[in-house]
Amino acid sequence: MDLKRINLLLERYWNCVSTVEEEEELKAFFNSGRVPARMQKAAGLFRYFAQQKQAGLDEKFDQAVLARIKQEQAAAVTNTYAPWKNYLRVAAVILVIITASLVFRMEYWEGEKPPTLLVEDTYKTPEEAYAETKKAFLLIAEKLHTGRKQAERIGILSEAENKIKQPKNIKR
Amino acid sequence: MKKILISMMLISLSSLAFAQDAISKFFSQYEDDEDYTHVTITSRMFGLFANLDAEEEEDKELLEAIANVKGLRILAKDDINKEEASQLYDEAFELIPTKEYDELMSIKDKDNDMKFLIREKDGVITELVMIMHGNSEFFLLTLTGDIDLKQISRLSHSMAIQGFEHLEMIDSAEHK
Amino acid sequence: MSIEAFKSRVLPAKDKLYRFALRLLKDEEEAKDIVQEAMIRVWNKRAEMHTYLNMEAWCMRVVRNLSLDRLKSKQFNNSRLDVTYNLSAPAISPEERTEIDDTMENIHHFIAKLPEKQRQIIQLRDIEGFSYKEIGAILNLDANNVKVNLFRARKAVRENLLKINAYGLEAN
Repeated sequence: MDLKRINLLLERYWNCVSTVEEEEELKAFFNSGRVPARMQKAAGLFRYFAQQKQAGLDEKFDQAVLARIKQEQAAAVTNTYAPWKNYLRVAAVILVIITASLVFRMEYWEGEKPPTLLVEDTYKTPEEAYAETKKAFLLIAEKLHTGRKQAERIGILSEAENKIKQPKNIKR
Repeated sequence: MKKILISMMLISLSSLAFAQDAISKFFSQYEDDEDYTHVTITSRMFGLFANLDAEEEEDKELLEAIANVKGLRILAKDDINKEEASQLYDEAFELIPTKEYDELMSIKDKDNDMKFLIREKDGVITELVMIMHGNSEFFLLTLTGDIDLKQISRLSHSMAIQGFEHLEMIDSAEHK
Repeated sequence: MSIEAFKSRVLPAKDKLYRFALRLLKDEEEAKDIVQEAMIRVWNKRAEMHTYLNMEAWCMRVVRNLSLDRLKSKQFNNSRLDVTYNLSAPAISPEERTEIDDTMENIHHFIAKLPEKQRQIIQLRDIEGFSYKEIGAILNLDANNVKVNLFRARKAVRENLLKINAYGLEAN
């Protein structure tokens, strides 16, 4: 390989501007065995990286994990969901009411409403629903945060912030 | 009986809220497709959250942030290729009446496209739409009700998910 | 997620997860333990997976948090400051050990002493080849912060390399 290119890639590496692909190229070069004497140190580094990637877990590990999953599954089946029985009951009652009210509505307003009236909760217990909600909100928050960071970088932060703080200003 | 009546009222209201939700069209299109992950949480369910015990600070904050939220829907598909992902993304924008929304934020990079759309009434955000796709996934979320974006965006710092409880630790360990 | 999907999407990440845990815990048995624990946790939370778009990053995060938890509970922070280092090539006699081998061993001990964050970032970037964005997702940092820390880590490694031997590193 072209030594000039290797030097260039090394330079990029030290400055943290190299891409993952370029770093792979460096690893490949220094692990190829034809390393000039004056590059021994860098060779040591990139061989170290490559060597450290060799450690791993064997088949036995897979078996152990899968065996534990089977256990968990078996345990899950026998678990009675005692603490949430009340919520289940409430949910069941509500479900009956929903059905009744939907029948009622459909009878009187047939055709007027879109089919989305039949929206049903995905989860039967508030705990599950809450867990999902929590996840969703964390995701939203994370993405809002990402967006803010990017906005900061290109200097339009104040604009985006204003929008968050004063939604009134949004319509132009 | 009183309870039932109140429930009925709530139901009617929540159904109306969903009827206004313009994105329902897109949701219903994939309603029966099992390759998609569907999540619907109605105002009925949000109402039940009040009964949950918020022991952790983060849960208290979250409950506060969602106090006035009326509905949450998610449609997601993963393990797909990039073309399909961006195709779904485009399709969503065809079906969403974008004129009715304002764009809050748009993030675009090599692999991902993401947009936040909002609808507001009298200075209050009443609907938030988050739509994105990456190299192998598509994700659409809508939130209805009174939405406090500021409160939500604060969550990312204070809140952690199961298994992620110790994110703060490392920083404090390093400052020693 | 079915067990088949688990086998094809989560299990294959085991080596990466193991190496990451090993970098944090510096103990092979502990690392293996943590990875198994993490996989079970991922399995039990499989219903929540779709909002976290990158499965591998999610798994890495779980491993990281469990490892840090373990470190904290055992406080073997102090007792295991250094790790034994095994050259992967078997039975190298002292005469055959090259300068490169020595460099690799030196680097191993040097990286083990880097600040936690830098050590994790070196592992994720230079050994595993994750993008800045993925690393940010795993460590809950923004990409810029990742880059700054990587820069510091590489700079420290480079200075260390230059120090090992007067006739230094071919980098320019």
